[in-house]
Amino acid sequence: MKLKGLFSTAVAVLCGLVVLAGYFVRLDILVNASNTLITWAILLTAFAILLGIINLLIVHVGKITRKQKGGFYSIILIFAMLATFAIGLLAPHFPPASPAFDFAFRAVQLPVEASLMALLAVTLTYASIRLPRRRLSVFSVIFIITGLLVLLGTAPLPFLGDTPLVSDTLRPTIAQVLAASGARGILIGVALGALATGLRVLFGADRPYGGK
Amino acid sequence: MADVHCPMCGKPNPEEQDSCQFCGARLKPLTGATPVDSQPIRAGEKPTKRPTSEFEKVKPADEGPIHAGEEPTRKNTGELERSLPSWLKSLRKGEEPPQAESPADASPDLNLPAESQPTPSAESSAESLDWLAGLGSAAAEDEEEVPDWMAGLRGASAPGLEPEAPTPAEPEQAQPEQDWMSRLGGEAGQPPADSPEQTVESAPDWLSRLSQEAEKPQPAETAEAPAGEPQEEPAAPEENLPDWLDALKSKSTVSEEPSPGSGNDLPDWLSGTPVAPAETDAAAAPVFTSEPPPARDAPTEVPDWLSQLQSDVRAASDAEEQAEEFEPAAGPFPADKSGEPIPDWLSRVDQTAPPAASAPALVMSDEGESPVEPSQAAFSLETPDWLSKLRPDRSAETQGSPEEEAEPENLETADLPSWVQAMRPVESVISETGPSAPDDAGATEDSGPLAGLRGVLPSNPGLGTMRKPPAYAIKLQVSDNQQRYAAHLEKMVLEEGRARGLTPARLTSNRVWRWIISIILIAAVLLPLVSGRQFTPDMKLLPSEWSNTSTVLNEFPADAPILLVFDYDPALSGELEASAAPVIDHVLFLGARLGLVSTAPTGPALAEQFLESTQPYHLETGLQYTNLGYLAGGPAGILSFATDPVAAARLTVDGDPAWETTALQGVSKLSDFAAVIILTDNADNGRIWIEQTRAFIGETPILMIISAQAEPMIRPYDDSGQIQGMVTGLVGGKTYEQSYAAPGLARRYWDSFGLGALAAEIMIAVGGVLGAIMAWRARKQAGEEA
Amino acid sequence: MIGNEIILGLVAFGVVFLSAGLMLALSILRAKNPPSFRSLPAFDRLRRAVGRVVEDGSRLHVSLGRGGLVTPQGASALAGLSILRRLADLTSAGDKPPIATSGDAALALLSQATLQEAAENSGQLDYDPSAGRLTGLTPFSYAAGAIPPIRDENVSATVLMGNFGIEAALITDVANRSNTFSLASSDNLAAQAVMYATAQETLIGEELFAAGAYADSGPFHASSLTVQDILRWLAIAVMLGGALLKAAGIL
Repeated sequence: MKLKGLFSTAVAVLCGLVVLAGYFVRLDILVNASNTLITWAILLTAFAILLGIINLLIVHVGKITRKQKGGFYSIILIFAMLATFAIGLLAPHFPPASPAFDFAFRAVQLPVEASLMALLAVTLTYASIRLPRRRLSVFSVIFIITGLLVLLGTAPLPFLGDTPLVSDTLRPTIAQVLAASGARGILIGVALGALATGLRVLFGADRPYGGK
Repeated sequence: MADVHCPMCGKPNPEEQDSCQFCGARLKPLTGATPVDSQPIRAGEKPTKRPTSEFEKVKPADEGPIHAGEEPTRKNTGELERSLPSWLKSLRKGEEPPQAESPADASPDLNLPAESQPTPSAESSAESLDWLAGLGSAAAEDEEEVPDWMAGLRGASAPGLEPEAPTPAEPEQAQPEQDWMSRLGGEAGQPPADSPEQTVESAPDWLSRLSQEAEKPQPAETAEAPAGEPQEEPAAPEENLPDWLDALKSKSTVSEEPSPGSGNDLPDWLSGTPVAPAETDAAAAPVFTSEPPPARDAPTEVPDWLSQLQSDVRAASDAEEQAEEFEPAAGPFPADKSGEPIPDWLSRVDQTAPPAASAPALVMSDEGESPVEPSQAAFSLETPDWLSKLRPDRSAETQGSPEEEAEPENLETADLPSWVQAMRPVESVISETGPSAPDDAGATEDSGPLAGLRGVLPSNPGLGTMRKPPAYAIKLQVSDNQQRYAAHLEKMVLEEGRARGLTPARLTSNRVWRWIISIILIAAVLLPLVSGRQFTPDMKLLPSEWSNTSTVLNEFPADAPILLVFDYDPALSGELEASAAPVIDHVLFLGARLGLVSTAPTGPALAEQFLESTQPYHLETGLQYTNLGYLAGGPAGILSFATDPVAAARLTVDGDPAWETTALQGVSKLSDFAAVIILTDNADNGRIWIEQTRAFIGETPILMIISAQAEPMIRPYDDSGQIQGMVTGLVGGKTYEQSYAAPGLARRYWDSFGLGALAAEIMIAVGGVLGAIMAWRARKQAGEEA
Repeated sequence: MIGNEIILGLVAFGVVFLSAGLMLALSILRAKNPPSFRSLPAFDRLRRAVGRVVEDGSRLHVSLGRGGLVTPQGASALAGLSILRRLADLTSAGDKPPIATSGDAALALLSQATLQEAAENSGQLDYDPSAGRLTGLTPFSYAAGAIPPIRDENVSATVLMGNFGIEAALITDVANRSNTFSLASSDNLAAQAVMYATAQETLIGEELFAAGAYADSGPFHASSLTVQDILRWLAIAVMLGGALLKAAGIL
């Protein structure tokens, strides 16, 4: 391992151990050290957003210069990004710019993301229709039936309202017992996996920060 | 027992088989009985006399394409006339027009029927001007018109030969043929004694030689035939000449040009056959006469090519033991025979020298003949199984670089049957005396030294059909392994094509179904909004958790500070706004002050959007709220805010001191809030708020307004009392609205939600059942096929 | 109340300490005796997809989700980075390096570092910094930004590994429409549900964290998988014991 990798690994392991110890052992020195490291992490995360945006800018500039497919959309993205960035910087100090910033959010981002969500409804409906054809198994059948029952028990029927037996019994049972218990089991497994992953990082087995 | 490989399919057959037991192709030529003289003639030996009587007896064959290994058929070579070089035609027509019109001229020399074409007399031979005859007389005048390369060719073709004056026509016209015939006769046992000064100009070389061989022993018979008389049967047009003969014509002409009327410019092997320069094509006719030539002294000197030829023939005969070699020429050859017995020597010639109809086989060999190694190519008699030599790699090499294109000629020539190669002495001469005939001949040359000349190169269109089809050669050359590999490759290519072919259809189908689903869903959602009708009644079964939420809110003191957490994404704002609107409306009616915060970058804007769109009344009446903006760091930011909210969020989104605003008066820590209401679509976010604020929130209740998708994960926290109330999705908002508020956003969405969900249920149910049936059928069918 | 917090903290610390000890010991043992895992079709198909990427010169797309490193979802992001590193090594023989898209800025930086290191280890000098990309900061903007590379950059396999929401269905749907292999996994339950319906292969639950072990990332991954199993059985025992004690009225 190179010296750079060794140093970064040592720093990462040390910081992780300090935060972990500060969480379990409520000594002032450990808690303060842990909070300080967390604060630094927050600052670095905020700065990383700026780097990420620059990265996004570089990627799309590259698409334009290389005349890749979708370069026109990259032009729109860069223009919108720079305009929004400028308005965001000006808004606190130049009040007339504030409505423009709100407008950019409400007129562009909000409806676009809501439309993507609506598109997801179509996608999931189509995927549910295709699921038995694509992957015919007992679990797929259970998946479809469960989804139909929950949907039927949640949404009102026209002119009828609640669906008898489904709305008052099946749907709550599925959502609050079966799904909740399954979700808990899955979440416990996920938590254990997260623990193991964290330990690998602490041991230096996984070094996403480099040095491998 | 040695197997004989079929020339068509390449499969081995028993030697005694006449036809292939696999494909039915003839394995042995029809003509050619077992050679009488089975002794091979080797180079330098004296030629032996061969019986040629069988040559006259065989029926003509049809004129279909002739393939290698098939019996040769006679071709109408009159069409080859068109392929004559223009300068040759001009020589014939311009300088000797009367003779060009003569029957003897009209009848191609090479296809002269043995009986129909009378044996030219010395005079008639001299007068019947053939193209070669014209050439012979006019070559001197056209000397300047000959391209340079031809001039060089001349020198190359007859080096060291001194041009001589043409020999007298009449008395000596038959003499050369007699000479070479005598030589041929000498092949049968007499040493050749021809003088080297004899020339051949009017007839193709090899045919001239044959005719000379035939005439020499019988000068009387040849003289009897009136040369100038019309033939009994019209001669076959010259278009039917095989290309090798055509090439032979032109090349022999070229080789003879330098010596006007002289045979001294002929190659060595022809130099010993003096022919009158005005000798007509009819002079060659005696070759095919049935009259037996009289015995004559054989020439004392045997040309090398002839020795090799005979040795090759002998070797081929010994190796293959073919009883029949050639089917004699058909078509122009008269069916009737003179009835005169063919002398033995001519019968032997029949086995050795091919008739005109056997030319197609030579055409093929001409394509592949190597100009460099004619002897090796043509006389490779040790390999009668010529098919075994044809290898795919060779044919592949021929398609490589231009430099390599000459190679396949070598290779193909070497692969020809020995008995075929033995019949092509002229080709050997051509390869020695001039450039080999290119493959792409047949058209008027428009560039290069042959510019303006047509047919100089053997490219008669009529000969195209006589060439061996390329596919035939490929089929023969592919081995079983290669066929298997090719089949594998073809299968792979087909599979690739199928996979790509199915892709667009599937995508198209997907796109159509998506459009159908979209239209149905949009129609179901828009129907209540457009019609304004109420399709679904209010809820009768109210969720249990709504009462806990309302109870907690009702216990708030007036003017209490409430912390609203906007942790949802813009995409889910529709659901969350409808769920939270009645709850917040309830809170605001109680006179609460609001502090807004978010851990999502878009949260602050969403909060403003929410208040403006759902609470316009409270905003107009002096709603007190402070937007604390975005908390970076996720859980760490939440923890920081829970630990010290004043330090974590000092300023509002407008840049003002947050904790000095009216809405946050008296609040310095998290527990100072009367309640924390978390709006989130993500169970993880809700969980983080619960877990991170637990130690700092004190007795402040936590209420959650969540998306329906987060319910299974958040409900345990409600059940365990870690949160004091929960409103879930549109159903929860509708419940709260139905109980505590006026009909609002949830009511407007309720009908669309019900109809859209019903449409989705129907489509999923029907489509799912159909898909399951189709999948089951497909699986069953696959199982049956397996 | 405070006492319970301390007890819970000590128990949690004990679990972490035990897990660390087990992992360390097992990693030493696993280095000598590599374990055998149960067959997961998703990983089998992933291996084939990676082989196809190398064979046909196409590109691999790894989407790391939006799990911030300072959030609980950071574990899934780290798992995604681990598999990204392994896949980058495996596809280093191919013509094109893999693409990594993420919805978190810090994660994007780490993905760049991971790809750069993989490129350096494989001797590739022309590392493209744009291979690790931040495509959006909100879930749906991130999904929308992750879609164009699948369509436009000759991607033949898409691996979603990290923290996703239901927006993952948009990515997997586009992968299906582009006829590319898609393997999806998330620590989010709603995302797992939509992934099951839309992706070709789905990892459920903690299978996400087993990806490194199945990708032969090293003995630590294998040992961590064993530790997960041990802890799972321990959790089952604790829950059953607690339920029995509760039923008995002891708790």
